[in-house]
Amino acid sequence: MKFWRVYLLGLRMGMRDWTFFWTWRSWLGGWMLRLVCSILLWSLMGKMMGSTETLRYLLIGNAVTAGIGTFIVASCCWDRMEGTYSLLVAAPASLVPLFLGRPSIWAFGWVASALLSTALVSFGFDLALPWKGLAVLPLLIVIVSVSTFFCTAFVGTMVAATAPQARNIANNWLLILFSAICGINVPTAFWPKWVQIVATALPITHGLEAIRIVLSGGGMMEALPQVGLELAVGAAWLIVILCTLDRMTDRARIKGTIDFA
Amino acid sequence: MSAVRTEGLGRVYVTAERTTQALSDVTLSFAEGEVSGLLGPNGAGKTTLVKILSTVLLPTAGRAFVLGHDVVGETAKVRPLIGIVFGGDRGLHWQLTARETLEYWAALYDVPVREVSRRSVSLLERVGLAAWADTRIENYSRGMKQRLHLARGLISDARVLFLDEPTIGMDPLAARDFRGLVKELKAEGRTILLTTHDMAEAEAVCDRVALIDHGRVLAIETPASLAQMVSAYERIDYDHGDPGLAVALRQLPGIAAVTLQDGGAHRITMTDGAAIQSILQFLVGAGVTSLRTSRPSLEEVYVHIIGDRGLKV
Ligand SMILES: Nc1ncnc2c1ncn2[C@@H]1O[C@H](COP(=O)(O)OP(=O)(O)O)[C@@H](O)[C@H]1O
Ligand SMILES: [Mg+2]
Repeated sequence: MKFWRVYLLGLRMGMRDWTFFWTWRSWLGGWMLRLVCSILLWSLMGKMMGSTETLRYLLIGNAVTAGIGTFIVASCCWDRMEGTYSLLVAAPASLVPLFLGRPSIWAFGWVASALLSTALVSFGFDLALPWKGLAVLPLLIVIVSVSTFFCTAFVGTMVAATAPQARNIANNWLLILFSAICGINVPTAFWPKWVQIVATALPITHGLEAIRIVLSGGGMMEALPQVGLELAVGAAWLIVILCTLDRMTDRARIKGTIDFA
Repeated sequence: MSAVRTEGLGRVYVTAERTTQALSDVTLSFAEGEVSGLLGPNGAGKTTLVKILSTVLLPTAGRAFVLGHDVVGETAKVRPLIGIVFGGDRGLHWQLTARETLEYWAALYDVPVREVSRRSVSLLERVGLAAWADTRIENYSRGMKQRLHLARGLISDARVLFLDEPTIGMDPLAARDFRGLVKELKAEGRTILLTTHDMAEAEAVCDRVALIDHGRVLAIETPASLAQMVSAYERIDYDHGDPGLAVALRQLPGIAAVTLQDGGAHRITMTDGAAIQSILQFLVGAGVTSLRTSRPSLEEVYVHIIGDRGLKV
């Protein structure tokens, strides 16, 4: 009850952040356009490599994850910039629902970005995606978004407590990491063993694998193990947040970096 | 029971560039229901002390208690009891309206849902923002933001309020209104700890004032003795061409020094505020037509206190 009250007010704050950033027009004309352009850029590389299989791999990988992972780390740090972080720490409520609430608005945005990008790409290119696969795609994108949210929110709360000025760099590195090793542009098998192990603990890897299975005509049963792994990875990152959030803020209390104003 | 008590409290900040002893061996106790002041120049350690009491900073030495609860060991008991207000226009979410802000913080303080709207309305009325309740804060003036910040600090009906330089940057009129509000809050039985670098403000609203500098408490005074100190160290500036007048003045009782200022004026500092009348008469009698009195700066008062009590900085 208390948890959801705080979560929902955090989410409302997130919605105010959202409208502070975007109007519908700038979201479609700026943000979505940018995403689609970057998908096209990747697909151009696929074309130059001359194989329709590579092209398809890149298009699906980039479209179904379009936008995923963006904004959360920065959003977790905004209270630092606004001078409200000290007030949050001093308030009796747990910080968990807050740090899951305010940034989570962006995860809703991911689902919309990814679905829209996939729709545009499948109209623009003759990908012949199977209906059966498309029917479960929204659910799979939601699952990938949830697990990515918990992972990025963990990084966000850590950056907010220790080095908020590095929020954008941290966010960019995280996105590069996802895009490099989670099977978006390069099959995970391409990487050395230890990188593959890291990718296993990251969100997107398993969920995207599941999406590739259903979009290439495989059944949901076939994809189920990967879906389960994606959910497990998300749950694991949530547990990491629950275990570390208080300790992170305690570190900031010890160091003396929590400012008034 | 004292509302706020510290025992040998200390805080050291360690950064790559330097180590700062922001507080050392601060032992204080402020009574419940009083307005207590922490008076000190910039960098004295006021905010550091308030941060420790607010549980957002851990001390590196000593202990501190709010209404008997240890701020380090019992943060969960301390947090619901305190309200925090700081000056300036930050500490607010500019994308929210005033009403949304109060709803947000009310949830964080677990104010009963059915209480929230009644309390928000009355607080917004109290700080004069009722007409702006549904306007986004980004459109507020600086003064409005500061008043909303105060309302925010009051939403949990806290028994102990920490006000860290709340009037900084306010125009004199707004600052006066604010002081009126502080007195009202006291009348409601709340305990207030206010930090300031303004002697007049400390004198106007506080029941007791701790003077701090370089992280140490120099003295704890009543506003009356503070006022006395201020007048005792009041100074007179006069313009007069004859250097012989300065020599004559130095012979009078109650005069500490007569010095030539940069602009050509002479400044008289006194050892005893009661001497002012006779000195002024003397100056007028000597044909001085241009003279001004001014209050000493906080630093000057400190120099006197430290001199008088043989403390080392
Ligand atoms: N986070 C910090 N890191 C390093 N030094 C700090 C920090 N906060 C304050 N200080 C230093 O501690 C001293 C006391 O600061 P502060 O408590 O803010 O004083 P005041 O509020 O009285 O102006 C100052 O010298 C200041 O530079
Ligand atoms: Mg300060």
